[in-house]
Amino acid sequence: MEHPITKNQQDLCAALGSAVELIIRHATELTRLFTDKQQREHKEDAERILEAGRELQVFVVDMLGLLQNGESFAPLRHDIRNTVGLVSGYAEILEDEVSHQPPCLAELRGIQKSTSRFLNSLDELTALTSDEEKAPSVDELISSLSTTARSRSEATLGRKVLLVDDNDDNRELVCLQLNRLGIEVAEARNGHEALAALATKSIDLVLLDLMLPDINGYDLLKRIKQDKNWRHLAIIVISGVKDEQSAQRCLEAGASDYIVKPVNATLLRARVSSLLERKAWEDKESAYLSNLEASYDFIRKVFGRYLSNDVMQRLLYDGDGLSLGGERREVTILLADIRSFSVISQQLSPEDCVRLLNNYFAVMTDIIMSYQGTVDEFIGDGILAIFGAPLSDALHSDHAVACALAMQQAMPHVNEYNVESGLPAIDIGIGINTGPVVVGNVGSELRTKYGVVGHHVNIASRIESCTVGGQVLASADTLASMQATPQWRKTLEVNVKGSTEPLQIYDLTGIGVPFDIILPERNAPMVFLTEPVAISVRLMQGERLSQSAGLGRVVALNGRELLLELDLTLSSLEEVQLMLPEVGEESLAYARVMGADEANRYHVTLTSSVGVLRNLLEQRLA
Amino acid sequence: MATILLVEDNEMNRDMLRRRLEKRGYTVLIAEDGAQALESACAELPDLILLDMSLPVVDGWTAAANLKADERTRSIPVIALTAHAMDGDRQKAIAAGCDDYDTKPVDLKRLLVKIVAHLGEEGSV
Repeated sequence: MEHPITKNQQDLCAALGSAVELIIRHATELTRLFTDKQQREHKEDAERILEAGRELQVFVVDMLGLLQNGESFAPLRHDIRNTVGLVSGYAEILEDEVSHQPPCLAELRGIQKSTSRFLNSLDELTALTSDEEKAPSVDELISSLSTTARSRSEATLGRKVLLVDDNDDNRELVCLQLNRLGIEVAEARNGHEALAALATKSIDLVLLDLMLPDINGYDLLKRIKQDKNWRHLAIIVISGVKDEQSAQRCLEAGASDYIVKPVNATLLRARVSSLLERKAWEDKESAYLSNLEASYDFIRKVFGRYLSNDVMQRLLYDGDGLSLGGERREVTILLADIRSFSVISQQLSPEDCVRLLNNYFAVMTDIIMSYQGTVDEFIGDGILAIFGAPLSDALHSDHAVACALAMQQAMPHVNEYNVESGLPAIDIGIGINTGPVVVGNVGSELRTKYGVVGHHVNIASRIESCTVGGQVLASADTLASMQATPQWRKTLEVNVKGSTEPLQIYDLTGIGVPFDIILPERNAPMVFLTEPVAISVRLMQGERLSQSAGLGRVVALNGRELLLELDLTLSSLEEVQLMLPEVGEESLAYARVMGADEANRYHVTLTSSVGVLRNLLEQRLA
Repeated sequence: MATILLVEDNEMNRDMLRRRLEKRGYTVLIAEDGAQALESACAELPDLILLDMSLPVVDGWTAAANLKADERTRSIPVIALTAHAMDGDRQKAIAAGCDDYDTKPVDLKRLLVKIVAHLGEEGSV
């Protein structure tokens, strides 16, 4: 079982005990010296000192008992200090009165000396035992220290020094001196003990006597300095001889300092303090560096999923990469969305939904990064990617368009996975816009996000909302900024909030060299049904159904495109819910109005690949 | 020569400190607890009060507050004496209205410096 009382406390108690014993001895002698009747009053005072001394003796025993029980001796300290006061007070009175009697004076001075020693040990013990019970003298001492001295005491506090010396008295002395600095001392009597201590304890500094019984101190020094685990340790060599050659040899072998015996206590403490302080800084620095490395690793792991290496490099190592605030810059914004995802997700368990999204996002993120884009955000099922920021890219619009086409090209691959995993096939629509926006770290100090803000982001979003599955729509601004040659099947005009002029957008099908991506042609001729099939059509307003509904007939289809005859008037790009009345809700599907032909028939494109409706219609083909 | 009111309940302590102060030429009045201290201070109007903080009946903290609340005794400097030597004692003593503070065991030289400082010219020995 570990004893609560430390060796240091024991030492101090022992010091208190011997001081009291000396007080009693001197006081006893003093009472014997006052034999004259005239000196009765003096004898009484001497007896008071003796009585107080005996009381102190009891207190010291009590105090040791309290310490051994791990209890505070604070209440006792009050009585002890009072009693010490009696000893020194009466001694001083007597000193005045018997100044003509040298033998008495000698005893009295002995008493005063022991008293002040007693008080010093008591203060030390108090300071050791509890931080809360610091004696004011200690408090004053600390507050009068300069700040450097105080930070030095922080550097030494709790540090561990290995003291290698075969002389017991030397070790005890140095221990006491270092303990006063709050330094823990591990002791070794010879080289083997020293090596064992180094291997098992975490040591900050070694005090090494050169004269050891087993290993030569110089050899031990070299051995420590050659071990990769111990090499960093500061070593102060203490030598019995003032020998310049020996000093030079030790310093060359890696010793931090060389002190000659007899060791001056103040000097030793100063050197130990300064080396420990240096060690504390080195420890702090290496802890800081490894923290920093760990943070960078973490950032790399987390953001590496969304950002290309170049971007990470910029954010991590550029001085102001993480400062808040943005810059105005021309970029290309790409927004991709899964068509009718809200409908699809209703049919999926949350786990399947996440599985589907994770696979889709993973494939798309790789593609975006390969075109130097940055995935800025996943918004539900949507992806917002930026080209041209944070790193500038002169070809941002080319890269964005090529990327969008590549994303569409990759969709069969994504759907292959989905079908294999029992998930529904999905289609995506992609909107692209180019223009000046504000990019940078947006948010608060605590939660910062590299983002993109501005009117042109909203336009990108508006363009994206016009897409049907498989489509890439880009603004005229994007096309104007491109260097490669784009290919498109048609242009559309859409109204954008805040602009009076309709926006010209391009339904892209390919991009020329150096990217050279052409999407497979979707507009094969319509195939007519043997007989029109009745269909109910209901207009959508956002995610909700509107009141306007009507009946119509499907007359032709081609893949996802249907040709409808309707008694309802629809506008281009409006979204509708379709259902075959003869089948019922099972055949629910969603479509976007692509336009009307000369015979006032509507072209619609199925947006959600709810297969039932399509399969039923395909069975009716001519 | 100045008159000092020594408030101390421990007889030996009182006797010892009284004698030492008298040796330095001060007139020493005695009170054994906080209540006596207030009474004596009002009646005798000493030049300075040495007040032990652990007293019976009325403790030193209360006595100090009372002395400083009473118009007759307010201007008398009070030096608190405590053997606890605790960290917060100084602030506590000053907060209670004491003018100064010293720890026990009394270091007479140190205490005399404080006494002289509070008594001004009159107190110099």
